[in-house]
Amino acid sequence: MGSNPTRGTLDITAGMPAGDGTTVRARRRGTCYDGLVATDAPSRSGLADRAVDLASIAIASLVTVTQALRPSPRDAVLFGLVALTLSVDLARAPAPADAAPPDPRPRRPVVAPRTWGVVGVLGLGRPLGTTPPAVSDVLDPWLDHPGPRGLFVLAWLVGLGYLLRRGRR
Amino acid sequence: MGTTLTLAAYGACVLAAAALGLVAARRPERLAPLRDVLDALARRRAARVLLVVFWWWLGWHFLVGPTT
Repeated sequence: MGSNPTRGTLDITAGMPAGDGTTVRARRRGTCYDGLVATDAPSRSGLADRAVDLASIAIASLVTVTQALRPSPRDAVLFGLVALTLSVDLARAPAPADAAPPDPRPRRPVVAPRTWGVVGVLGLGRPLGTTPPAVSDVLDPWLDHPGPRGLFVLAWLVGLGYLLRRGRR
Repeated sequence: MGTTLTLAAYGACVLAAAALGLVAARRPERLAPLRDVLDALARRRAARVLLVVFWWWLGWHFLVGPTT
């Protein structure tokens, strides 16, 4: 491998063979070694995706904070809309470059998140009218008792652990 | 009447979710199970954050925040 580092920048894609026949691995931009060149300058699409990610997080955080300060029956519908938005995002998101080979079984994942999202929105929001009870009105009398409340907390913690393990495979 | 109809709608949503889970478990080639949907969603950082934020809100809404 190179032993005399020289300053400079070359925009050569990582993975291309170096002058001595070895394969380059990505290093920080701005570094150039004998026969080894590398750059990991982010592509324009990568920067745009990151900007969308950060904007989505900021908007969701703002909605969460404002709704937490002013609870209303509409907050459940708002978060249901977030679930639907995520489903649209899923439909457009490309597979990661390092994703495992696709499952040979035919799948229709685009259908599933929208279906679950619709069921989720209807289940959380007020589906009909303005006077019928919200989900909170149905569950609150039950959650006032310590036993069911503890069960709800346990289920919520288990669900949180399940969610945090998703997408890590 | 409105209350009964709404409660019936909530019950229908629960049954629909159970039916979706059953169909996805028995025929995953036709409908992706919720686990796979969440895995696909959670690959993106923004979606992962939003999922956790939503779950936090769910716990806060029913356990802490005023709902009346």
